[in-house]
Amino acid sequence: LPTLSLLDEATDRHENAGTVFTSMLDRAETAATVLVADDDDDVRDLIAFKLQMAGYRVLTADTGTAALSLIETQLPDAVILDVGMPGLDGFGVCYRLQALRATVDIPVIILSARDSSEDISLGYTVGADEYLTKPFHPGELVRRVRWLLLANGG
Amino acid sequence: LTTAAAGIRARLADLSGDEPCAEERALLARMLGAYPAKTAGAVRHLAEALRSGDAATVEARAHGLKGSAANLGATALAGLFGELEGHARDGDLPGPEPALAAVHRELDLITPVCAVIAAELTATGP
Repeated sequence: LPTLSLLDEATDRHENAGTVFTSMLDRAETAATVLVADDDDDVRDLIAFKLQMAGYRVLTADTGTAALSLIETQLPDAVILDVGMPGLDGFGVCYRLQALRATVDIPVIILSARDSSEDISLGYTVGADEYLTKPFHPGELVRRVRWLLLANGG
Repeated sequence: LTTAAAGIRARLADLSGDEPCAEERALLARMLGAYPAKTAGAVRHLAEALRSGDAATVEARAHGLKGSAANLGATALAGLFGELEGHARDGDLPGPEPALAAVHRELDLITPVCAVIAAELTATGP
C-alpha cells in the first residue's frame, strides 16, 4: 500500500499534470459519504465543512448511539469518531462496527483529545484504522479520509 | 491579551489557511462569537460537579472543554481544563473556588479577543 507521503506526491502530480492514480482520488471524493460523530458542534461543523469542500457527502451525529444508528442504516464509506461523547463513546461505536458484517469494513478514524498511549492503543484495539489527536489539522484529516477510502477500494 | 489573540489567530490560520472563503470565514466567526457564552454555560456544569466532588463528571466535562478551547487556539484555557481533567482522573480534585476563579479569569480575558477576531472575520473579504 502506498504511504501517505506517496499519496501526497501523487496529489501534487495531479495538481500539476493529472494522473490515473489521482483520478481515482477524484472519483472517491465525489462519490463517498463520510459520517462525522462529535458532541462538540463547532468541531462537527468544521469537519463537515472541510469534507464538503473536498467533495464528500457528509452525515453528522452528536452521540455515539446516533452515530451507530446512522452507520447501520446509511452505511457510509468512512467514519470519523470522537471518543468522549455522551452515552456510547467512540471506542464503543468502533468496537460494535467490528462485530457487524455490514460495517466491519468501513474505515474508521478516531479523532480525540485523548492523547495518552493507552487511549491510542485502545483505539486501534477496538478497530480504528487511524487515530488522530485534537487539536487537529483539517487538511491532514481530509488526507487521511482520502487515503483510507482509496486503500478500501476507492 | 496579545498572547491570547496570537494563539487564536494562529489556530484559525491552521484551520482555514491564508485565504478562507466567505463561507468559511462566516463559520469561524460564528464559532468564535458563540464560544464564550457556550463555554460559560459548560463551566457552570463543571463547577457543579467540582463542588459536589464528582470526579468522573469533572473529568468528562473538563475533557470536553479542553478540546473546545484547543480547537480555537485558546491554549491557556485548554491548559487549565487539562489540569482539571488530570486531577479528576487521578481522583485528586482541587479546591473548587481557586480552580474556577482561574478558569473565569482566563475566559474573561479571551471573551473580548473572540469578539474582535469574529468581527474581523465578518468584515473581511470580497
